[in-house]
Amino acid sequence: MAVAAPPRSELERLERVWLPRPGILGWLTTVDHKRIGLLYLAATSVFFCAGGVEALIMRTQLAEPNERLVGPSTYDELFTTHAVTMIFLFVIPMSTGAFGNYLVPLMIGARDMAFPRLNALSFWLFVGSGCFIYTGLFMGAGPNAGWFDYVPLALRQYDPGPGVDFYALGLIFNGLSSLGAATNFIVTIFKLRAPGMSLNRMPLFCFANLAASLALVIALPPLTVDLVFLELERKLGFQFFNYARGGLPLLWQNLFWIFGHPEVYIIVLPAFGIATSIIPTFAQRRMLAFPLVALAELLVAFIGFGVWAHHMFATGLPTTTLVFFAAASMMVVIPSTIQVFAWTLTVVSGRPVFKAPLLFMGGFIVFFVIGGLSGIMFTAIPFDQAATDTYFVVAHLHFVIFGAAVFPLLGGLYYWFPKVTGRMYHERWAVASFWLTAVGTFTTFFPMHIVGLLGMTRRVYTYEAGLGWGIYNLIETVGGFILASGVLLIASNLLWSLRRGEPCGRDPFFGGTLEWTIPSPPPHYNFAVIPRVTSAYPNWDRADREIDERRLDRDEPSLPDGHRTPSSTVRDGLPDEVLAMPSESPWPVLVALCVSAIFALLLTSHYDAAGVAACFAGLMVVGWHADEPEDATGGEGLLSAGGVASSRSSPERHARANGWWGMAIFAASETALIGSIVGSYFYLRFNTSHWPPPDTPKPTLLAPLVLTAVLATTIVPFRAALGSARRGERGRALTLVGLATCIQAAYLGVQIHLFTGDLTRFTPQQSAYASVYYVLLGAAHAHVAIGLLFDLWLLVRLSSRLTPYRLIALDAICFYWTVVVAITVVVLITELSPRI
Amino acid sequence: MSARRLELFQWFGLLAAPCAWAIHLVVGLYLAEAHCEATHWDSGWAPTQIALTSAAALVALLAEAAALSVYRDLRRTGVDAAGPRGRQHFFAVGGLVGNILFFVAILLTGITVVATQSCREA
Repeated sequence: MAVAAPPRSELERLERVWLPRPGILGWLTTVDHKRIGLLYLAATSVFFCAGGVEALIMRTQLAEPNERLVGPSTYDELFTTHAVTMIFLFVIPMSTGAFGNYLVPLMIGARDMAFPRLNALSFWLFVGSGCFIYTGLFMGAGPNAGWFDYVPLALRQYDPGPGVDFYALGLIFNGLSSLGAATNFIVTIFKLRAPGMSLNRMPLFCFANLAASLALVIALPPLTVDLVFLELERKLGFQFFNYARGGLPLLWQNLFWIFGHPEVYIIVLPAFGIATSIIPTFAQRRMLAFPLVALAELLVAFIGFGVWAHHMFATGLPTTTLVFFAAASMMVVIPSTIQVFAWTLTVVSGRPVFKAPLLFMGGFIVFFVIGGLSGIMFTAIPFDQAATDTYFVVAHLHFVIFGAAVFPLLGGLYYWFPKVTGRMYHERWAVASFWLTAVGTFTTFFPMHIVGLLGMTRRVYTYEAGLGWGIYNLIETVGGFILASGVLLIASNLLWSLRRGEPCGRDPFFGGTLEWTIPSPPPHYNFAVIPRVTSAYPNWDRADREIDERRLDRDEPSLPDGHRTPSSTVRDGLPDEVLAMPSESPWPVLVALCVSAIFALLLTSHYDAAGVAACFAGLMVVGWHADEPEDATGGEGLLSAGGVASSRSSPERHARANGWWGMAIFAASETALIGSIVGSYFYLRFNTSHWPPPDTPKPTLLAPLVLTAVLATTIVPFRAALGSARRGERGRALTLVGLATCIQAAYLGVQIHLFTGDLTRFTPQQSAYASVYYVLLGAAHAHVAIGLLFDLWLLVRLSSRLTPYRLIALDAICFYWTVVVAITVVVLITELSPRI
Repeated sequence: MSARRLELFQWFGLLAAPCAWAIHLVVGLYLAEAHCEATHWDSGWAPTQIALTSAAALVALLAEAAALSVYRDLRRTGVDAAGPRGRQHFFAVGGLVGNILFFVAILLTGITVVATQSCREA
């Protein structure tokens, strides 16, 4: 066996430490954010092609009246799968998964994401969910009830095939991936910023990704709840949407759009981030109104949660209700406008160089304004009611999604291509591809406004001659093919340049953010010297960068002796500690395989087998966590090796660990999940005269009150255990956690007993009240059960020794139980509300 | 202003108005549901909406005042300034604009809801 020669320099040592495993196995087990970003890019490009082919088939079908290329049922599957693909399998995963993964750590000066293995798991879950959804299409049973899948159309009696089940389970599956990715982005942006990168110095791209990730964490749970309700009704006969049993079809729409409208902003926000990166570079000046643009990105995500019912203006809701949403819908225009003015004025007041990436940003601004203006028209309730479900809506949403979200992605591909590959793209082809794509976009989508106003409804597979729609549809179809040729030219240009492009060096455009300070393509460790940041455009701070270069010349890279990255404090980016990062791992891909099996078995109603697959997934997760990271060290390790400003006197030193933040975000998501069920409960209640129905007993008061009080008391031993662990008293901490676990297990045992007792008195199939009652209690008990699994893992770990890693775990689990107790109290109040 | 008060005012100036708007929206909406749907809650509905709107608008105004005081205290601090002061100045600028937006939205929504009170289908 050949023995590797000792490293000749510190930099070589660093390179060896971060060297990835070669070959296909290296890609399957990789946890490197750059490789995962590229995997996302490849996978989402495949799905983009699939969605594009579906779109072209639909446009060909609609090119002329009475066309018979596909029948109505195939057309239903095509438009549903096209939308699901473009939204869930292309735009979001490409903008966050590919661009976000590759660029966020590079822009903040980190060596990887906060949770590299979770990052890999998110990718493999994404691939699994995409394959799951497309399996349905290839079996001739693709999703076919539209991307918003309205009930009662999507209920079993009207759509008996498995298409809706592929949709519902596929999106729950996809949501797991998105939740993992969003959590990772938030913690990475909060905790792994380079020293000195306080929130006011953070790149706007990261603000946009942070806003999108925060919105995802809160928006996904209502969709998950909605999809679970749908599957329970379709497969087990629950009654959430059945009016005859106290259910409401509009419950589906409310929950869907609480997710669906923020989703629009989740789609466009990363695109805004790309625009705020490209425009200053090619205008050669800072972004104008930097704080306001950062705030606007956060505001768009936040206000987006208050506009959901503007998708329901035609459903007969009372005027008083709609006023809230009309106002909020108008309000969301303001932060968007702030950004449009900032982008435009930055170009106008700078020294713009109109290369391809900036041209794409120009197209993006024009299309976003067109889509935005037609969007404002929908806030006027009478106009919305007239135009709803016509092609006018299709025009609006495509200008927003393709024009405002995909155009920046295409521009971003050109902009960061030299960074990723080390080679320049072909500029003239790039400019030509811009014009083809822009003309194609306008020609495809603008006539849809006219044909919509002429009365053409969306989702019709053909139309009669003589309605005056034919010429517009023909123009749209021609535009569709022009657009496709533009996209093909972009792909050809990039593939050609991959081999034949001119070498570009580290910074061909003189960009302002940190990724331009390192070689192209970036080394495996990203930054040899962890940079010190003193402004929002650190690459333009020559003095700082010269310090880094001098250190590199002296062969003094940061943290050369381990797979490590520094972490910092959330608010002000002060050095906190040095974290050991995991290397390649087989667990993420194995867990994703088990999860895929779970969803396949749920689809085929093999619930016992799904349970077995879940147990396997659990074992994989245990295997994953058997590999404990080395103990974190204080920021002084970084200080000695990095020369960054000392912050030992900072009150933020040794702030909350990454693990705690991960748990906090998970808890926020779970709170949103329970909140969605509670919201559904009261929505149904306010719309029903008898709650609970006369044939259903009212809930008992005493037992739930006593049990909740007992559960709440377990916070005391947990807190005490945390205090003991901090003082190094492992035995006492172990005893206290054991005590809390026993009480929590007893609580769950009694609750399960009561739950099964309730089932003998009334079934969830009886009424909407019963359905939502059981789901509410079931969700609350499931959270206690998950907490008990955390406890068991913790007890096993604490029984051997106490490490900083285990102390962080105890802190995070203690926080989890605090949230579970709060959730249980809310559930208790909801459960007992008929007695109040 | 002391460092602690600056920190408190900065976060209040940034987060209070959005929270007030969100609570106004959700609670107001459920009140509207209770008013218009099967439960038909009429008595005291309008005064409750007025009280809710007034409270939310007041919080937004207080948030604006907090953001303004932070901004005035740090007006000579640059956008890129280091440490807490740079960040506080940065968020104070955002709060100053955002709070006005939320104040106007709360007020206009509340006035329209109370003025229409209509449960007729739109």
